[in-house]
Amino acid sequence: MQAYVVSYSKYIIAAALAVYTLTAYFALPVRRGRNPFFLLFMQRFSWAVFMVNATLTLWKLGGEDSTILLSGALCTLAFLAFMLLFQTFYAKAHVMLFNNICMMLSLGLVIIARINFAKAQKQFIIACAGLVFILFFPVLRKQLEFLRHLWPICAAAGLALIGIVLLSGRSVNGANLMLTLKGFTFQPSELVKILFLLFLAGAFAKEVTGFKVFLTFVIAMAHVGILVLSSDLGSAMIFYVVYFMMLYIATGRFRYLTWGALMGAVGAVACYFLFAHLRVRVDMWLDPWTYINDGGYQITQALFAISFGGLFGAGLYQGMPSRIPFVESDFIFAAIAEEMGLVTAVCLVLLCLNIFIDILVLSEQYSNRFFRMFTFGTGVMYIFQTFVTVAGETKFIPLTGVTLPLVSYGGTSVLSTLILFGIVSAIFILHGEREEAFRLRMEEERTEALRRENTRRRALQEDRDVKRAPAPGRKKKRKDSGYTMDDPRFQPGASIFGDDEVRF
Amino acid sequence: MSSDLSNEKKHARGQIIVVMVIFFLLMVTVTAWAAYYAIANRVELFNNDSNPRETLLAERIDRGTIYAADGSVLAENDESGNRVYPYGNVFAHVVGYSAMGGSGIEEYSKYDLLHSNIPFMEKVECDKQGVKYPGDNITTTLVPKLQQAAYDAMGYYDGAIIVTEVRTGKILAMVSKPDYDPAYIARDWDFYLNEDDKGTLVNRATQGQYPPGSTFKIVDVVELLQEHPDADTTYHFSCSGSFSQDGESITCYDHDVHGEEDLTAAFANSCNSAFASIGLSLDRREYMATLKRLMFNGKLPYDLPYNTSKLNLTTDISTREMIQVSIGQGTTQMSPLHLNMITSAVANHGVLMKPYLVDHRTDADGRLLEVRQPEEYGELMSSEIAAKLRTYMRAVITDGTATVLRGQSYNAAGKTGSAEFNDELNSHSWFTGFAPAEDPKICVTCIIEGQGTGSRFAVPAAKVVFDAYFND
Repeated sequence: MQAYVVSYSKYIIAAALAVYTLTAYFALPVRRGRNPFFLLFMQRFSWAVFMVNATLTLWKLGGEDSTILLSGALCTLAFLAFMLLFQTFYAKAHVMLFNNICMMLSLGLVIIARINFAKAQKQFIIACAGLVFILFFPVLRKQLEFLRHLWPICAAAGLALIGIVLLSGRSVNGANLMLTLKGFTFQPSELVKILFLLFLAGAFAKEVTGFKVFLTFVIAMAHVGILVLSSDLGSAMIFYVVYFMMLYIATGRFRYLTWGALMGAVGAVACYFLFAHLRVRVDMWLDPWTYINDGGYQITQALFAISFGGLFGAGLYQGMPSRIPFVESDFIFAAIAEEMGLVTAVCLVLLCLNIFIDILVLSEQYSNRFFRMFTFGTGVMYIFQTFVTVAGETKFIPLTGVTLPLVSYGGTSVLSTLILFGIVSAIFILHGEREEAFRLRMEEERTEALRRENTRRRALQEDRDVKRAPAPGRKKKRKDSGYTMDDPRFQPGASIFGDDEVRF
Repeated sequence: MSSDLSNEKKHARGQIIVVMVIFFLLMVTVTAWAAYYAIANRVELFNNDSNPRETLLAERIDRGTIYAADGSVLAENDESGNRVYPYGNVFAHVVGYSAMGGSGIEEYSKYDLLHSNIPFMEKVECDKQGVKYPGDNITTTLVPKLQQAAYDAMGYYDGAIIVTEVRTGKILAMVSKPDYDPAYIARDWDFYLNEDDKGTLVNRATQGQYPPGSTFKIVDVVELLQEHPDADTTYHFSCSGSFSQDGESITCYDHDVHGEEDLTAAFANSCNSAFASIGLSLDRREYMATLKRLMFNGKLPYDLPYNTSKLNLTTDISTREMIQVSIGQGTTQMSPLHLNMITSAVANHGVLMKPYLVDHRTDADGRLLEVRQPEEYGELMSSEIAAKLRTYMRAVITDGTATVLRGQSYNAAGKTGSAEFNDELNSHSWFTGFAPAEDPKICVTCIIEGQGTGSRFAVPAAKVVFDAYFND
């Protein structure tokens, strides 16, 4: 029984993830607003296979505790209910984004449950709270546009929050990241991510003048500076990259990216010499083996773990992921690679990439700049955070200790990612509805025009019948009708709202 | 601004594609790197002392068996799961032990020994019976007959013998003394760690550091022939029992006076005076390059732990130091393994075959999984120089310091050495050589600590090994 469970289980997990990832990529080119039902069904099917298989494996190898079975079933049912409810509530919902969110959460919950069951339960509760937010947030979608006026407040609030942490935060793992409020510990830099995106999207929603570039630059660098001082280097890097990427999209000038890269390089070198904690990180990255029982312990243990799993993993409960300090929050990728294998881990990264491409394609079709900037920023922030954590865990770049969004253990992280995705999905619903409304209006106007045209023709015909007058030329007729089938606004995928909303 | 408005959407599309491509490439690179790093380094990472996963696998896998080249067992798990070593002390250092952090082949091959490649259905069967999966077995290149001969030849002396197959680089025997019984390593651990002052656990064959003494004259000859290819016929030295230059002098061993010598005679007699003058005449810069090629102060092509050889030669060292370097004394330190590599390169037309210990790996049912192929490391010296050196080393046996090996059924060749290691004129006894001289098959390097000249101790020990190989 043991051999069956251990061996088959890991292959099933790898296969389910592979199928899921494949369908996610097949579904990418499908035109927005239409949901590819077969692919989405395949996704949910492979997700369900993963969940059932993982639950049974955890139960069998984790001491046959019936709590695990119940929790697994509850989790599967809860996620399924959310998926179906969301689809039912909003006809214009982006179903795949929601599938992907559930897949990521499930993957994280399974590996966290294997490492520390109590933490998985906590994570599940927070995830459910976030999902409820996504479920009901689109109700407020009509008010979304108002947010763009709040960017100065967002900037100030964000700076204030990370400033407070810098001054009074509780030190965890050498960095001031946590804040305790009435018994709840949370990581403000995660929440500031939302504020930061709202600030930039709002500031770039209108014309981007030289002064505005300067202003946003100063505010963004203030964020980065405070984070560097708090030793939260991962977040600092993320904020920095997101700022320059959004500036590039807002202005369309590639030279800002070049400047960003140059300044980043110079700044990184300067910080290396200025801050001892940064120097230590870099030294540990260059040669962790020398400090293997000291500062290099975490990263070398992670490398041992990733390498031990091989292609299909050691199997759940067959590795030693717990040997890595802070494994469930900072090294979840290593834990997944060890016990579920490199195939699953690579699928996970490809899935993150899929979510990123998906969100960027969404942002591309919005002609409302605020919506476009916000959606785009969310995508970039998501993928770059994934990059920073995966690359850090595999010794590709120095370790910074950020979470893998939705997968890692950490309430604030999961919640803030879910809020971001919730806003993105609400924007998508709003956009879809406006597009639909516009199409209907167009349809109506066209019917109306046709009706008028017919009436006029009939009148003309009657006229002609009476007076034997010559028929009017085609050219003139078109001018009168106002709309024809050649009108660009009738073409599929055309911009349909917002021209009147974007003013320069 | 209205023109901007119409271009706005098109612009953003291009830029979004740029951003997409940037991050796509970034993520693909990091994923490929992660997968490559994890797979390419899996054995090395598993073997790392700080990796606790060995104990994890030991709970599930019945550690595999280590076989000698003739199929006899060197290490295996008995029914109750204890590691047993049928040859006791004989293979102590080379096979090593699995307990207490491990050493030797037990440590080097633990990834293979602790992974099971038996078919899936057999694993199911193991589960049903409630036993561990059997790990893979490895077969070493070690030949018990030679190992036993070398072990016996060492007697109660401290030192090491290493025997390699010239054409392949297979290590046929490796003995280090003093020795221990690997089966009782856990019991005696505290003693070895705290009370033992002889370094019993050190494998002297690979980790021992000795002054090479006269055996280093092989290296002098390599450099001399590189600078003066005609030295073979033109070299001439008149030995008066001592040699002086710049107020520094050196005497030949036992104050012998060797008289008129050509290069062959100087080498066969191990004439210190001749080699001191040769050493001083050599171009330092070129000599340094040659030493680098011969792997001094650098890495050796060997997979298990070893110590690098140390030799201090710069362009501006004093006459006294240069004389010490040329006769292998002073601060020069070398392992028997390194000397064996140089000797087997001489025997193999100047080309060194990478020495190795594990020949092949099978699963528990004997299905072949992996065979190690002999690997060329590279050319340490030209084949002409190697050929000349072989005649000089043959002369050491016929007319020189190792006449013990004269008149055997095989024609051995080699070089003796007596390396002084303290001021009381105590010396280590060295011999390194190969046989047959005309078509070398095995290369034997032997050191016996603190027992005087090479000819009296190391050469007879090497003879026992040659006899075991050729007279059977």
